[in-house]
Amino acid sequence: MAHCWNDIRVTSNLSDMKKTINVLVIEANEYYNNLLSNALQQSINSILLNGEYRLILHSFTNAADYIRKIKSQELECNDAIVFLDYYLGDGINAAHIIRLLKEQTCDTMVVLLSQSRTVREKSNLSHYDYFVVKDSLAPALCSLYLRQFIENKFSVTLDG
Amino acid sequence: MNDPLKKSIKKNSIQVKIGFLMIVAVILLSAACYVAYRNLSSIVSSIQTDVKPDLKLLSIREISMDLEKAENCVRIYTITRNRSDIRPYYKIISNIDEKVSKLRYECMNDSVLLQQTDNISKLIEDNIVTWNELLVLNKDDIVVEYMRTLSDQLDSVSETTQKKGILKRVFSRSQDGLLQDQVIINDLNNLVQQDSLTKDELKAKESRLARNSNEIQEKFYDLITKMENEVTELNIAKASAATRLADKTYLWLVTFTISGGLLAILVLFIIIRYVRKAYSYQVALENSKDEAEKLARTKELFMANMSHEIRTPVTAISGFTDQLLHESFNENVNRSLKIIKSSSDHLLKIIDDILDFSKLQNDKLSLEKVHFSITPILEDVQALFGKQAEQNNTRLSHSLSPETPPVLLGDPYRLKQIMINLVSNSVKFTKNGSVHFSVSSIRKKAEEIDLIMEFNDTGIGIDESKLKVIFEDFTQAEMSTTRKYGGTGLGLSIVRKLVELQHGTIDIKSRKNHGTEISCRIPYLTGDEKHLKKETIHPVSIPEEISRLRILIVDDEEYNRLLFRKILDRWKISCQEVINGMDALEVLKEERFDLLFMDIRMPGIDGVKTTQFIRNEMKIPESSMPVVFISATSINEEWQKYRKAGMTAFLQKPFTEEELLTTIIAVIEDKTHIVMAYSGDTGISKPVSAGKINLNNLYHIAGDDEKFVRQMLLSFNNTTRKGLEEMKEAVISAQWESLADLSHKMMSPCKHIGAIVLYELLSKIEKCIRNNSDTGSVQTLISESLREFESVSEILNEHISKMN
Repeated sequence: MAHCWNDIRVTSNLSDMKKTINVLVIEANEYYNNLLSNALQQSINSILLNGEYRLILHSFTNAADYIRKIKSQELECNDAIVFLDYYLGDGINAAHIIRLLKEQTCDTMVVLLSQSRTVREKSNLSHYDYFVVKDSLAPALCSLYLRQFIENKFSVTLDG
Repeated sequence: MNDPLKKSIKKNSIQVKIGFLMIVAVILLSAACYVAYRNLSSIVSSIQTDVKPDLKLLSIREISMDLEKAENCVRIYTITRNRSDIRPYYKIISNIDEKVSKLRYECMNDSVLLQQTDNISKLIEDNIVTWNELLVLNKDDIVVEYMRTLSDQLDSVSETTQKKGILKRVFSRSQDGLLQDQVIINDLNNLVQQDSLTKDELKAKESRLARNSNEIQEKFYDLITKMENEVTELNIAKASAATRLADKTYLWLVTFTISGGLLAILVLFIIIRYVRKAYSYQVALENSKDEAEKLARTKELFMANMSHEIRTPVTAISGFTDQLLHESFNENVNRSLKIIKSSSDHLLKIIDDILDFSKLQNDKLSLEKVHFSITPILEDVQALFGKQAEQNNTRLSHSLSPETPPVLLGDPYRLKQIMINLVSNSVKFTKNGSVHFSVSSIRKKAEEIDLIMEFNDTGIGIDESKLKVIFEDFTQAEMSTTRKYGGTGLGLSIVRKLVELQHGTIDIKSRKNHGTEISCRIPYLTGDEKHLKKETIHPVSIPEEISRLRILIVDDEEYNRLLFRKILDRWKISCQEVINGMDALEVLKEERFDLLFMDIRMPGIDGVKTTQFIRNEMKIPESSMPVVFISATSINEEWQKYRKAGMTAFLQKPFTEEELLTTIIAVIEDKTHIVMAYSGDTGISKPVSAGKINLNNLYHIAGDDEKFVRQMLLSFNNTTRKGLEEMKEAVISAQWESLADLSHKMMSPCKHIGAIVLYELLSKIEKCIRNNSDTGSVQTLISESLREFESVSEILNEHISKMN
């Protein structure tokens, strides 16, 4: 897999005619962003969807880029799962992104990532589906939630 | 007209169209071939004819040459007088005659040529007559010549002897001779005279002959010229005809080719249209199939969900009723509770029937293959319906033939289900009578038997006309039966399907008001007593060690958790509850439990995935924390899958207190025997733990991809160094919020690579700023962080260089 540090785009090997499901990683730290992206890409590679869909992984270290792409509709926010760090730097946090997704009426599943478990209580956020503490198990948990998202979306059971 | 018929006609219409066009194409092709063959043959034949030499011309030339030869022979003979020179003449003229006849025959079709030939023939005849006359004349001349020679001799003798005249020399030989000489001389004179006449005649004949020859030659030339002209004209005519024929053939061929091409295009168009239509039908069919499969899956999921959704509250009703029945209430309350218990159990039975039926219909029901004893099954069935039979004043009995193997190999649950359904029916429909069920066997091979189960009752029986439909879905013999006796009408249908699934047969004999006999025959393998599952002794009291356990309950249904808590509290077992798999994982990160009860179906990540995660990612082995799956539905088909996911045991809801205790004891007892499958090997190929760092997690995620590890470590070095530099600048410019963010951003990677000291320093920095406490120490913390980073970075660089 070729890694670049901004907006990594890796597609599963399906044609362009298929409906896209975006898997988004918005994590300011490059190292952690790569770590998550790698784990999620491995999951994407192991998921064989039916012919109508494809999974695309987008990775953002700069939340402003993501906001711009969503606002300009360059990036479709429906049928997406977002792995979202709470603190995104430059005065932006997950609450801003979640509010934006709500404004855009996006059908997006949000997995909130944070260094600390206390953020969950303190942030008073309600519009997220899963919460993941950024520990050593986080990449595996994110992969697990991605698989669960796919299973729920397509009413399928993925092996493994 | 119905759709299949229309489709059939459409399909046939296409076949007829293509067939018709193919026939037309074949006819056109055949016609083209025929015309081309005929015309080309004609042209070839014409060419062959032209190539042949003209026989008439040849004959004329031969005749002409023969005439010249004959004339030459006569002339040579007249000069040489040699007989051998005249012989070819006769041969030639005899041939000429034949050749003229042949020429005449060849010109038979052309009157002009025939007349010309006749003229030539006549002239040749004249020539031959003249030549013959010449020859005759030339023969006389020989005599004359001879006589002349003789005269010359006489003259020469008289000159030598007496030098007298020719006559004196002739007479000087004798007196008699004188007289004779005179006669001779007279004769000679006559001869000379005659010779002179002959010569004249000869000249005349030669002259005639020459004229004749000239005339013949001229006629021949005319004839030849004429014939050559005719041949030329004929050739021109033939060439013209051949050209016309070739043009015609080309025209035909072009016409046929264009027609054939158009036909081929038409056929191709029809075929393409047909194929496109067929493809669109196929796509529609595949879509329909997908839809149908999706619908079936949805139906199946719906059935499973509904079953679960209905069973869960019913389980709670049954469980709590059971709990209440342990307490002392007045008789009325107890009776009501018993009714609630009985109703909820009945409802559960119906739900099970519907679920089984759905699975059987979709071929989703798989059979277990375990060693089991038949006797307890018979006893259980007897015990299950004993009370009901007694209420109906019916004698319920059973028997087992001694030759039946005590242990069989197969699915005991389904065998019991068959027996329960059939005995249930017999007991339900028999009042004041008897119900007997017996089991016997017929040995087929050494380890293969046919198990024969017979169910006889003296109940209401079934009308013979209804026997055929009795095993059909949703069927009872009479509609009134449902009203009077209840039931879904699925019992016998499920029995038939279960028997057939096990490759068995089922027969029924019944007479209205005389009872029913049902006979089932199912093949089984004989089992081995050694492999029988150990019967767990039902606990009568709570063992002391149980109370020391710490149990985690993972169930989204509140009443299930309450039921657990109520029972476990009574047993003084410490337990914690969580409502989903995600929370379970979060709790397990911090705490360890001796046992975990995991609901299979939960919102979010289900029990199976949660357990997989616990075993594979959190590395909590079965020996350390067994996981008991709980579900309202049976898991026969899924057993292997759940075992693979990390399940230790299964407990079906609703469960009794005894069942729960039995499960806990069994699991805890077995805990010590469970193979330490997860201990030791963590799956990390190259763990690096050097005090300041721990790369185990990174290697675990990377698998075999060292390149990725290297890239990640380099990235860590660069981003952390950059981050720390930015922090230093932020301190100078007193941008505290930004500083906190930077610090926070760097914490996760530090923790991930096990740089805990650095992680804690950064954490302190963030806390100091966020809590507005002692920002003065931030500078010091940043310096410490930089020093710590340098030492971590050194270790990482060393590791990276080793990787190179």
